Amino acid sequence: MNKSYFYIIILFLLCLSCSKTKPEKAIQETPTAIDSISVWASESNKPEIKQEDKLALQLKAFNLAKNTGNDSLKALYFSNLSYNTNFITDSLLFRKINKQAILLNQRIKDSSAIGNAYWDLAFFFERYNVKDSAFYNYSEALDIFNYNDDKSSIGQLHLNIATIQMKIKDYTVSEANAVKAIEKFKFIKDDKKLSRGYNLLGILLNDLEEYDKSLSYYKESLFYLKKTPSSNIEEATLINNIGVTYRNNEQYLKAIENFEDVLRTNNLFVKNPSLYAKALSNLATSKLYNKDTVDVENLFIKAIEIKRKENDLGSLSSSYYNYAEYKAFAKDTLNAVIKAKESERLAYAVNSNEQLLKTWQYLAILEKENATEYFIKFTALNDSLQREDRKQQNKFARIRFETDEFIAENLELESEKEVLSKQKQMWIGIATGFFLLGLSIYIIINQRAKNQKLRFDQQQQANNQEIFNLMLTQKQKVDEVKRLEQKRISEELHDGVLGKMLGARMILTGLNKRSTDEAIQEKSKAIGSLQEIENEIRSISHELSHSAYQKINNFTDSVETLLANNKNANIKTIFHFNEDENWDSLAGDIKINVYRIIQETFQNAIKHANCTYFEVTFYRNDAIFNVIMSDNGIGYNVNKGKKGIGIRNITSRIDKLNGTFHIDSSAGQGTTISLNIPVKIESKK
Amino acid sequence: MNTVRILAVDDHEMTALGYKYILEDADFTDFNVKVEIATSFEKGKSNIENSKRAIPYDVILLDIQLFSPESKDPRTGIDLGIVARAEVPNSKVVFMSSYSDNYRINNIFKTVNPDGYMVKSEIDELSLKTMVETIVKNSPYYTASALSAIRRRMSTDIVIDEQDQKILYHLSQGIHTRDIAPLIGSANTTVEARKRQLKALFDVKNGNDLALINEAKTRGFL
Repeated sequence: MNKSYFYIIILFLLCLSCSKTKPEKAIQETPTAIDSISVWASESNKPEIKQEDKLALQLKAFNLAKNTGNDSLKALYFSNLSYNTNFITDSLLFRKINKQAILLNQRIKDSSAIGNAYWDLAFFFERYNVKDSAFYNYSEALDIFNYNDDKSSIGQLHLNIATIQMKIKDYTVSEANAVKAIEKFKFIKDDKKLSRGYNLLGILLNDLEEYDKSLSYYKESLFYLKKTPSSNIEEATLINNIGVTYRNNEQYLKAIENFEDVLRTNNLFVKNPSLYAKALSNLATSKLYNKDTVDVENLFIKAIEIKRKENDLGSLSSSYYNYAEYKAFAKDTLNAVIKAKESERLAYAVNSNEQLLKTWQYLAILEKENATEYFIKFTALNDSLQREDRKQQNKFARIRFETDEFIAENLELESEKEVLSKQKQMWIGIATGFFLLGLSIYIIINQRAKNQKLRFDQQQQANNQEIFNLMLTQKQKVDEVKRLEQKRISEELHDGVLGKMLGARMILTGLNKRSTDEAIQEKSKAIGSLQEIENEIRSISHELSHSAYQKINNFTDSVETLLANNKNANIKTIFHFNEDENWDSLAGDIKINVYRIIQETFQNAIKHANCTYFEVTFYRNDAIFNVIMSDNGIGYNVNKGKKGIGIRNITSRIDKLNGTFHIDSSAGQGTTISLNIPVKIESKK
Repeated sequence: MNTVRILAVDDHEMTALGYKYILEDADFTDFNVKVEIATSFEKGKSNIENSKRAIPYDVILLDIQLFSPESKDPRTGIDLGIVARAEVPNSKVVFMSSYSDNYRINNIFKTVNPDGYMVKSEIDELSLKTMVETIVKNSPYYTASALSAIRRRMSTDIVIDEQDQKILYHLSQGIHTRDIAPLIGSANTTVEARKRQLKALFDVKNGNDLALINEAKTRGFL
């Protein structure tokens, strides 16, 4: 069996301390709170702090975390507390904090924080030597980090798991995990961790008694360790391990060389007296095995002295065992038995079964008379240990299996999630569809309204065109009348006046030479006719001048025609306007729109007002053109009911002219509409 | 001594009387003149028709305008001329009109082919006497402006048909192109096309209607 179990315990502790080198958390966001937690943590680590004060600090930190409102912040605090395992010495409090950390991080779905919390818990269990729970939580953490593909953490976790598995002597599985860890470390090129991985492999193979392989792993570990700025203590530990392997492989000279190397390490005795003592003890043992007893006893005594001082009982037990071996070698059986019993006592004290077994085995040889007793003890313990290990191994296998099952379950959940997400997508699609549908409906309605407005405008434009044509026709009519009048005057002159003058001339010519009474009478008739002609010419001249001065007003003429053309003979229409005003000079759009409004209003008056009288008045003051339309019909309540198309038309037209209008009406009182339109006189005539 | 019987139709009685006094007082070398007057279209017409059965007039003097402009009666002396030509072909027809425009005169020449045409403003004692003397000798008689109108028309080799003639006339009356179409019983486009043709014919390059009308006037079409 391996005689240097105590060295390995050192290594375990080394590994455990490694396990706390987790990736740094982002804690900048809450510097003050985190700071206070870390301050309290460091404070509680000070040796002068009493136990009660430590506990008070822990509770204070716990309450601070508990009373934080913000979920993510709370989770962060708990994660942080959970991480500070050195600080939280109360195990119940730690469990509480850790549970909170897991729950809160689950709530905010921070998977790496959850993983870390499991890791913290596993570490906690490992410290209390609850291997199965530690293994379980490491596995949990490993799953999470596997999912996150955090290679450094995965490697470290594999290493930790491998360590636990080694403890229960599940060497093959442990080896596999260590190899996995090394793979990850190689990937991230972390020399220090690689060194640790190889170190673990070396220990494993040493335990498996494959010393050559173990040595080569140790060498590898040393190679990587030398690449890092490591302390010589670590190196010394490794060399000590190598020495142990050499010794186990019965290469005592090489072993001695290594142990001497260790002892030569600078300041080792000050920095790590326990390692120094071990190296001393190992050196002594190696020399003893090499049958070189010179100064061996001194070495043992020195080692035991240091170890006793360091209170390193496990290691002390091992030293006493070796010392017993030396005494036996020196044929001092009595002392040998005493030393062996001391070793047994110490092994009992530290509960080191291996050492106990070894010691019993040795005692059986030393005390031949008690050999049977020792052998029975040995067998009982060995069997129970083996059973225990097997049980643990089985348990681990079960945990692993359960974890796999959990993964399978997760996969199932994931596929369910996928279905859910598909459903979600479908719903989103449907919602988008509805949204688009709504949008398109809105656009269509909007467009339709626009089109309607456009049609309305077009209609109005057409109406305006119509009125323009109407006015043009009016003008043509006037021109025609003018022309006809000219023609009439011309014809009157031509036929009437000319003819009569010709007649008078003919008579006077014909009767020029006659002077009969009859002839004189005829002549005087002709002279009378000339007078008639005179009058006629005068009247024609008057007509001409009148027609020259008469204003031809198309706009008012059009309105007059409009009013005159109503088919209802019962309605009397009156149109007032100042004839001196040049109404035609109003802007075209004013004329057209006013005409249209009058037309509309007149139509309404005829159709609905039941009136007998319709009056239109134009007047102008300064820059405002006023139109007043009134009837004596039934009227209507202006404030009641919605606006009819007529009113809307007026509104739109008046708006176009920047004018205002006012309707004054009440039931039975007739209706008066007045328009006020700002005038812009057309510059051209 | 022969007697030349003349019928003067004019709605102005004084004018007709004037003809009567002047002609009956005039000294003709080898005949006397007897003038009857008719002061309306109807009277003139009945006189002409009656003369067919009795003794036809040697000369019929016709005014063109026989109704006052207000009456809007479309009948004119031209219609009487046509009647006279039909009823009493041996009677000489002379128009006495204040119209001196080419269109009117040429139109009359086409429809009635009168023996004489006197523009009223050119009528005086002498011209009346000369007219009767000339007509009686079976020669046509035209006063100066009537003659010039006929001459101008004859001196041009441009031939236009009746429709073109009408279009020109209506244009000269200041009627709009689009209003001409119904007056001559054709489509608006036809009128436009003919107008273009006329402009080309009269060599009116940058042609508004006024230029066309002026050109038509100088060439004797109006």
